[in-house]
Amino acid sequence: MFFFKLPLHSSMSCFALAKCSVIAPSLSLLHQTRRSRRPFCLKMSAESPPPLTHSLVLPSQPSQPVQVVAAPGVSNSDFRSAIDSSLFKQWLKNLQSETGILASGAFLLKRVLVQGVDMFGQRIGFLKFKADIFCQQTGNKVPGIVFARGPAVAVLILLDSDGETYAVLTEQVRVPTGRLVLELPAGMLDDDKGDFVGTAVREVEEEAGIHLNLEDMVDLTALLDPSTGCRVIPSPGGCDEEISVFLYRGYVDKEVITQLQGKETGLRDHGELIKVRVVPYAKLWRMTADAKVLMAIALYEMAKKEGLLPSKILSPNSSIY
Amino acid sequence: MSAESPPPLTHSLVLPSQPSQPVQVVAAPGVSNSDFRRVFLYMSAIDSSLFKQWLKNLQSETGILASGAFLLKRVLVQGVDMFGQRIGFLKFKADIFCQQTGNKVPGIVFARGPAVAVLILLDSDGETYAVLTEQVRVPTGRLVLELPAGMLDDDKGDFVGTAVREVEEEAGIHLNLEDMVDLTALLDPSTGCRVIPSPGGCDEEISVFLYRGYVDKEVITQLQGKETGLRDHGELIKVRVVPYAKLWRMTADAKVLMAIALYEMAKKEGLLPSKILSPNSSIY
Repeated sequence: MFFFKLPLHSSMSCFALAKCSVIAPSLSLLHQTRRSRRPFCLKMSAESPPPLTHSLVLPSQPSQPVQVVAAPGVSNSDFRSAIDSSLFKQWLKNLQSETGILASGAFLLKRVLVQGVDMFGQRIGFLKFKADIFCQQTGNKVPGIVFARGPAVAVLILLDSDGETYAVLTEQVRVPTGRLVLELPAGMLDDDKGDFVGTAVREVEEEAGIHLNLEDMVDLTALLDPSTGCRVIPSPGGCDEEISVFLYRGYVDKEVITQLQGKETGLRDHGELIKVRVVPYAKLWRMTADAKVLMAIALYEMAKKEGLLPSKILSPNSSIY
Repeated sequence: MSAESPPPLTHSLVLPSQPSQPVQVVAAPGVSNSDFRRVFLYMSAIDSSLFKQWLKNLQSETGILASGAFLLKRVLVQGVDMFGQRIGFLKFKADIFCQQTGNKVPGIVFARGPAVAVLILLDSDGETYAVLTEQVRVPTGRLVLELPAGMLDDDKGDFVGTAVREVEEEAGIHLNLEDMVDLTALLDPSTGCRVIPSPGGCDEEISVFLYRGYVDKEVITQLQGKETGLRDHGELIKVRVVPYAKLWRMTADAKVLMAIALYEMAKKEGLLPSKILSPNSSIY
């Protein structure tokens, strides 16, 4: 184990690294990994391969093509997947839409640096990139780091039983927060079928015995002014995510509620990663940190107050509002 | 010497919750161009408050590692975004396993730390207006109308986030911490008393405050007047004033809807403090 002679801020840092001190970036560096004990000399003069680049011509700025560049460490195939992905294409589409940043000509997209690609099996899960967008007039660059994950759907499921209204939620380990989070069931829309196939929603269907039909759901986000795009954006400063929020309301027998509540007290016997929870709707707003829950409550309560929820006449065991 | 790719940087972390199983923290290849910069960025990442806070969350009473049912085996540092001298964003992948089943939990993290948002309500001439910011938001590809938000300045306890400062300058309202009501503090303690915009991918937690005050009609008129002007000076943040009654429909911003939910439900249940202050101060 060797100590790195760089100013260290933390007392716990102890790297299996250099034998020689690093004085300036131009000096060669010796590495020693924990696995191989063989010192390894990497000369700074060893040329790294030229970065992968791709030129994009956008209709909004035909004479100034966009340079899309891969950061070191992004493989050829990941770079190609990124450029071809619907995530990236949708973002470009948003930029050039009527309400998009590039629409007026006041801003110019010069470069995109693809920093990372997370594959979920064969498909792209997340994309991270940095876009250089400049204000034409001032030359100022707009903050441009993007964590792209695409759109999602969340459902506020309200079950009426015995005069009480209950919300059906999911609870799961959420690594980014370091803990378990109680959330609205959510997932990705399956374009082919128009049904929800997200894990969380499927889990709720299985656990609560409720089949969620698209036709029985009320799109709460569709009530927003069209200028908003009719979706909610959880974190516009860093993430492209846009969520449609649906309301599903139905009547169930008391046993359904009792059974669901009973399951909660059991242990996570089978290492279930998603657990279904039932919470009285009256208490819901205080019981969770999840943004989706609060957004759904806001939309539902305000829409109800203003008489904007549709009143559908359906059979007794179907959705009622 | 052939140009072999440098071996990955690794670091071993011992956590109190799993003392016999140290965590391997590894840097993805190409975290930066030159080796010196790569090492610097990697060390900054591990030493950052972003990463330390995440480790702290994991090991807290309500954390994933608290019960011993889960084990953190490895962290892959994928990217570090510097904002000048300090770390802005961190991206990493954590391998956390369920001890019983061996199942791995989805572990990609976009870390940016906590933020604060303010629902500013101005009463004037019998109407209530909300004060918002509008700015270019590259991730969405467009302009978004949002609650003013920013980072808390630990030193002073005042808000110094750009958006909030912009509102202060444009609207002439000085936001005192003492006049603000912490709406997220009304949440059940088990929630951590902060809202999480995107728990599946991001560590961000937001405190939502309410600020309510009375202003003369001219303040509102002046602010509304500024909106119709062009972005003459290439202003990246513009202040907008919207009647509160219309607010819930006027924006896609999650912070706005969350604040409305907290405000309306708290009001309904009589949970907002009634402070008697001088005429030109905050009233609820």
